Formats: sequence, structure tokens, C-alpha cells
Amino acid sequence: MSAPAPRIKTRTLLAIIVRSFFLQSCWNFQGMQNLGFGFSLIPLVKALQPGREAREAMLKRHLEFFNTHPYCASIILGVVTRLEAEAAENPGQQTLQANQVKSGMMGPLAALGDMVFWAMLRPALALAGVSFVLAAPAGQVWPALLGPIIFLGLFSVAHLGLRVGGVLIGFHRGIDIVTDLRRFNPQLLSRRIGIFTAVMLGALGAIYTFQSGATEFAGRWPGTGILLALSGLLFLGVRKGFSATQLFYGLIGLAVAIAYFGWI
Amino acid sequence: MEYVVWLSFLGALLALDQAMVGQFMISQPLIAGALIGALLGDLPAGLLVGAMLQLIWIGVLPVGAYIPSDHTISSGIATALTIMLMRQQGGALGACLIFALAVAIPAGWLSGKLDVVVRHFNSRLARQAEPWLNQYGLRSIDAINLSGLITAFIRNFVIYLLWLGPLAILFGLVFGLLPLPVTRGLGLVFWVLPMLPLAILFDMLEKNSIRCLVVAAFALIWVALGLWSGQAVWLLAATMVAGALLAARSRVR
Repeated sequence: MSAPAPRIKTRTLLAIIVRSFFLQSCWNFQGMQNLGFGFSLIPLVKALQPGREAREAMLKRHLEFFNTHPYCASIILGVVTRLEAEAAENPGQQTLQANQVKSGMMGPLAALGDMVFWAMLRPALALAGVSFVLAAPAGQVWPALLGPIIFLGLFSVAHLGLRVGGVLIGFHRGIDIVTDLRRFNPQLLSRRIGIFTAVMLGALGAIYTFQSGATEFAGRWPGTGILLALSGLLFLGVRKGFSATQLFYGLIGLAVAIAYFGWI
Repeated sequence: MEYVVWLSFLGALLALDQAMVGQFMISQPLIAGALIGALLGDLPAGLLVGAMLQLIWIGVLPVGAYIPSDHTISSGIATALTIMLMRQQGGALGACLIFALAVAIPAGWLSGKLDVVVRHFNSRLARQAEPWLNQYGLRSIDAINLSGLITAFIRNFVIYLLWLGPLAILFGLVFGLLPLPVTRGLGLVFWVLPMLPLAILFDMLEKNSIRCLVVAAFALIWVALGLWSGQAVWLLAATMVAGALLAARSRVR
């Protein structure tokens, strides 16, 4: 059970949350997100330190190098808020610890955020959203609109939940959040999102080949066969290390050649 | 010309969401395409273009300090150019989209290069942070941090304006002169393009057991579509729920 959180006005925490959305506004090669981190903590600095010199000294401590996943930074902001508030209540104790915790947490959280949000959740939900747009009957806007709504809606639940909840939970749990994070099982989440992505991938492939095979190619069965064979070729290209952009331009060259020689 | 300025303004604002502010995902092609399509009065085309572009770059990961080519800029410009080409040249959506994307990708590349310049400029500002903090107080950090947004916005706006203004006229002329086999080839690419992300995502799935699920879902939905061919959206919704339930029940061995 963690100790009771020090008293910080809700307004201050809300201001930190709002400012955390600007974490990367001045991303730079020297300190990376350091300016954004300092910018996010300004409401706390104002709340804790009455004098100009003390405020500047506290803010300077948080202008050191900082880089993590932008969504997960909210957890660190919450923990740092707590540690700085405790340090202000008990002068001379924990100012060093806030920076140590910050630099200790940013690496693991960067890896976790990159994996969960960029490598898994965004592709999975984007795939679901795109599938609705491509499955919608021609000329019907509403079923197609479900795509962006599903993508943005579901992603925002996770994203905004972490952005807002991260600061609040980080503040209330303090350094104990490290123990909570150790219990988090990224392998299980990876497997679950992988399964969801696989099912949606199969569904998109089926819907697209079924509809386009019949309308754009020689019929449903041959059309599906042609599209799947092409998909296999592209898979080999991906395995060989070609980027999506390179394969895209390659497809243009191939298709123009096919059309030029009258093979379709 | 006035709507080009407004479109560039909106596109430049949207592009800030990619990394500089919020990262709400409104800059993702699926959302930005719908917004730009709605703004240009062709929401269905915007949705379709956005979906296609979202698929192409579905596997690109902005991890750490790596600065990829700016797909947000490419997608926004490609969406606008597609609708402009369809209106001005009377071209088919597929050929217009592929042509627009082919000429918009260099804009993303240029934006990525300029991003490095902007970030070096930000580094110079960062070096001034402490001296300015001593001199002007806390507000100097507010000003420095938000100034990063202004430089990024200017970069985005200039690229949009260049591609949707003078270059769009050139692209329109070139598109109008394309021989028939080329436009037919571009149309063909449009129809096979979704196979590209299928291959990319299939490669990203780590285990063979999960890859088998792709094949199983494909076969099941394909057969189901044969039975209820007009119900693709409902089938998809049911598949999404089934996929989520299946995922929730899984355990790590």
C-alpha cells in the first residue's frame, strides 16, 4: 500500500495532462523531449515553488535529456509530480530521486509504448477501419464511415485513457507504479492483438478478393487466385527487404508493362 | 487558388498531429482522407483514398529517433490531388489515385528531410533554454516549446502549397497526356494495391500458428460471402467481434 499522495490541486494535474499533449512540439536532437517535459511540468513548478529563483531551479532540473514513448510519458509525469510534491513537503529529501526515476523509467516505457501502440494496436485497428471502408457497398457512405469511426474511437480509448490515466495513476501510485508495471504481461497482449490482427487480415483479404475478383478480373475464382498469387510475390518482396514504397513503384512498372503488352 | 491555400492550411495543421501535438491519429490517412474529401465535397472518394493510403503504410513504425518519410504529408496531398484530378481531367478514381500517390511520395520524402533541418533548429533553441530561463523566466520555456510548432507548421504549409499549387497544374497536364496503356496500368495497380499490406502484415505476424488463423479466417469469410454476398459489412462486424473474443480467450503458453 503506497503512502497517501501529497496534496496537489486537481487543476494543476489537469494542466499537466493538457500540456503533455505538447511533449514533442520542440523535439530536438540534443535533449529530444526535454523541452516538452519541462513545458508539461510548469503548472507543478508554479504550484510548488513560490519564488522565481526556486521555480527556475526546479524547472532546470527537468530540462535534462528525456525521451520516451509520447503516450507513456504521462506515467512518468505523474510519478515525477508526486516525487516533486513530496520533496516540496519535506525539503532536501527527494529532488535527486525524481530525476533518477525519470531516467530509469523512460527506456523501458519507450520500448513498451512503441510495441503496444505503434507495432500492434495502430496497425490492428487501422486494418479493422480500412476493412469497413473497402467492404461498404459502392455509393453507401455510412457503412464506409464506420471505418474511421472504429479506428479513431477504439484507438482514442486506449490513447486518451493512458494519457489522462497515466498522470493520475502515476501521481497516486508514485514509485510503486514500477511494481505494477512489472506485473504487466506484454507477451500476452502481443499474442492477443496478433490474433485479432490475423482474423481481420483474413477477413479483409477474403472480402477484397471476393468483391474485386468478380468485378475487375476474369471471375471470382480466377480473380481470387491471381490476387493471392500476387500477394505471395509481394510477401517474398517484403522478406527480401523491399519497402512498401519500393514495392508500390514496382507494382506500377509491372502493371503498366502488362497493360502496354495487352495482357489484360 | 483560394481553396488551395485553405487546403494547405488545413493539411499543415493536420500534419502537426503526426508527431508534434497530441498524436490523436487524425493525421492518419484514413481520417485525414475523410476530412479532406469532405472539405472538397467528395467524402466517398476521400474515404476510399484514405483507406488505400492507410493500407500502404500500415507497417511503418516511427520508433525512437528514427524519422521516416512523412506519410501524413504524402497522404494528404495524394487525397487532395486525386479529387482535383478526377474533377479536372475526368479520370477514373483508381488511375487518379495511383498517379497522385506516385507524385505525392516525393513530398513526404522532402518533408522528412526538412524535418531533420527543423529538429536541428530546435536543438539550437534547446541550447538557449537555460540562459533564456534565467533571463525571461518560465514563459521562455512556453515560447520555445511552442515555437517548434510554428516552424513545423511552416514546413508543412510550404510543401502543401507547392504540391497543390504550381506542381498540381503540372501534374494535371502530365496526367492528361498519359497514353491509355499507362492509365490502364495505374487503374490495375489500384485494384491490386490492398494485396501489398496483406503481405506486409502477414510478414509482421510472428508465429506460424497466428498465420494459420489468417488462412482460416480468409477461407471462412470467403465461403460465407458466397452465401450472403450482399452482407459484407455485417460479416465484417461479426468477424471483428469474433476476433476480439478469440483474442481475449487466448493465453501465453
